[in-house]
Amino acid sequence: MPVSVVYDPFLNDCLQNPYPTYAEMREHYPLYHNEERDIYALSRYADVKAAASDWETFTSEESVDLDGSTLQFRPANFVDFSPPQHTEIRGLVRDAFAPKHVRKLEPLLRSHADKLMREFVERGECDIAWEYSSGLPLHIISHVIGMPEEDLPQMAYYLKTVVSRDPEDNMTLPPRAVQAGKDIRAYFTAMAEDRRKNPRDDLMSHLANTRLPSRELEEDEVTGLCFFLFMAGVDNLSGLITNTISAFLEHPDQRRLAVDDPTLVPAAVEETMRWDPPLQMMARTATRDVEYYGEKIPAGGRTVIIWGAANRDHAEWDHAEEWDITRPPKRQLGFGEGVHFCIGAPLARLQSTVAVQTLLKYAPQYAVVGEPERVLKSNIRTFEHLTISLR
Amino acid sequence: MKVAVDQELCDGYGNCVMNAPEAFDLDDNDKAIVIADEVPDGDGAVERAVVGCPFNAISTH
Repeated sequence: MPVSVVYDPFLNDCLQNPYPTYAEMREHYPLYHNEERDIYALSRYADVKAAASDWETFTSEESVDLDGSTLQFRPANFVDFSPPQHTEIRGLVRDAFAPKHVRKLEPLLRSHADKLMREFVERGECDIAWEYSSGLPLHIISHVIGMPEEDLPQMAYYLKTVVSRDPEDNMTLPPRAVQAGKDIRAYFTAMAEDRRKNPRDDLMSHLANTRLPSRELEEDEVTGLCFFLFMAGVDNLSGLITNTISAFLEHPDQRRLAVDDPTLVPAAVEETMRWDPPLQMMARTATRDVEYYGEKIPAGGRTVIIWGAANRDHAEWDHAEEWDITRPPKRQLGFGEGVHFCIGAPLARLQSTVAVQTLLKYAPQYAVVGEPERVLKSNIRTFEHLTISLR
Repeated sequence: MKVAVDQELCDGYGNCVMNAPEAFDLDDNDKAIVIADEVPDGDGAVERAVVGCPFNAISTH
């Protein structure tokens, strides 16, 4: 059957609004093949869920980003590892993101969100995507890792540069992004050296002075791990906060509900993770031939599992294309599934909830100013800039 | 209603503890344990914990 739909996550159309394409794929091409890029794609909930759980058939080891971005975190990019190495490296940082530690961060989180919001209200408007949705997580993850506050503007700049892509070739990391990645690593290398001499109560001190159960930890692994946590702790999370704020812009009735009853905000965050997840998809590589619907992904085939498509599967949700914060709880795949499930999910949910509750408290009538600008990175769906008025 | 955790499946991510702290905790081996003998039918927090488990390790009966 000739394929009448084009799924290419590097194309501008897809970056602007991929959801109509996903609907076509789920309906007509549940195993999709983009011949030009030679990538396969799964879009139905059941297929995506099963493939994500089966790390032996669908390995992450060739990078979970189609553009290979995660290779920058080598050699400790556990997001690209398989058990047992994955389990061991993840175990090093799991405690830092465990519920007992996440809860301790709540007072800091609330006070910093208040501080930012008071500043914005005073000013009358702000770029909510950059100044707030990134600014707040940047503050929190830096606190967890142990970075001093005066270093944050420089680190924020590096971070922004690492994820930047050129519109004419967004498949390749531009030289400035590669350089910024090296600068971040150099920063963490110096920090690790310092924490070996002057250990404190922070994640960097723990990583710089610990070992794996089976062996010593390499210096490169310490810095790669911090780089990864720093990136994931700001960049993916900022998308979740921004997309929730943006969804409330598009749904004034539901905004009123949440302003009147802030306990609805956690459900709104969860619903955003379903309806418009900031990390739209991940790549895997088939380790053997796998058959779907009479066709096959050959061994070695790069395969995209699309969380954003699976999460709108009509077989799983009523009115799946609509954002509805009053839905009954059901498992969405925005945080992943199985061994690679987001290690920071408890912290991400809490931060997003606090961020959105604080905005709704200070500026329940917030409105868009000017033209929002989308991020142009293949796997990310959120805004680079979203200016809002707060008065 | 009663809640159970399959410790073979549990991998200690702790999402259940965040969703429903009155029903779950992590033990010293980072495995989820149930700390409430009985929870109300249709308890929203527990339902979120059940569906939110990355390993589908929680069941109710």
